[in-house]
Amino acid sequence: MPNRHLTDTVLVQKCFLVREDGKILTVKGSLSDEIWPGAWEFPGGGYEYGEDTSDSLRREVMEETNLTLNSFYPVYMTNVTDPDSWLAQADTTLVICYASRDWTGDFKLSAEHIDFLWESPQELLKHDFAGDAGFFHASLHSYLKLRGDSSQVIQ
Amino acid sequence: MQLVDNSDTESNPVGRFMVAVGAVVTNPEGKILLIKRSSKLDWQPGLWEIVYGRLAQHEDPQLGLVRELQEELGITVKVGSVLRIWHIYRGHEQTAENELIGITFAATTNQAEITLSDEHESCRWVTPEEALELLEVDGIKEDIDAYRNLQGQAL
Repeated sequence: MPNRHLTDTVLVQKCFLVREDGKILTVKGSLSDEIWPGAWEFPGGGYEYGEDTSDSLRREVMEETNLTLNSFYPVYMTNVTDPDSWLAQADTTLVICYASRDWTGDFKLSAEHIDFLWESPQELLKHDFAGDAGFFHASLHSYLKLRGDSSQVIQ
Repeated sequence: MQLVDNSDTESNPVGRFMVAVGAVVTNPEGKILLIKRSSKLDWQPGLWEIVYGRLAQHEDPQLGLVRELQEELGITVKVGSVLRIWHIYRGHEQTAENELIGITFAATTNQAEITLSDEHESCRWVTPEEALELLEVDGIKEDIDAYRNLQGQAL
């Protein structure tokens, strides 16, 4: 039996907050961020030891948007093991993207971000997601496919 | 993307959790494969379940799942959407050593012949409704529910 106790494993969770009109929230990182300043991204963040994975996503979304996630579902996951990728800050980095139409509250931009937009998946693809572009594009593709909108998917 | 700041590992420890992968495996008729744990096992003897297994260090989740299903059931599957992310502690102590993050996927197979290991005594292909009647463990029922939501596009 190989050692199945992974070391240096990180879990990052992100979420598409979808409005009634189908538009999705994207936020722009601070220009003082060390990695890719000013890149667009989606709310979410890193899992901390001992948290429930769902509570962890709710906490990050609340911190970054002031919105309460009620229910959500995963749309895409991948793992990054390439040691040359900056995402691979640990031995194994599991990255998961969720989507939610079921959230409440009044949106407020956090100090971590300098701008925000509500946009359609097609509009979102135009933005600079820097090194996360592959992950976010795959997540948008998967989101549209799950909704049965594969005709809208832009390759 | 704002990732975990690992420079301060005391307040924001790098994960050292185990990662498990599982699958709701369906056949071309849409029936779900359930397997029954051996009545000789110490943990949950005689209960119905689906296949779960732990990843090895650096193992890709989807490839790890394919390996587990080959080892446990002798079947080759095509891995589909991610259904659910979950968090448990193995055993009774809620310690870092016992922490486990799980990822359940949907998967399909054309193979009808199942080769069971010593850990399981029987298997059945059932409808999602029948699965929910046979299953007793809440987490496994949630996996079946996530699969049903995906089929119903109740997203």
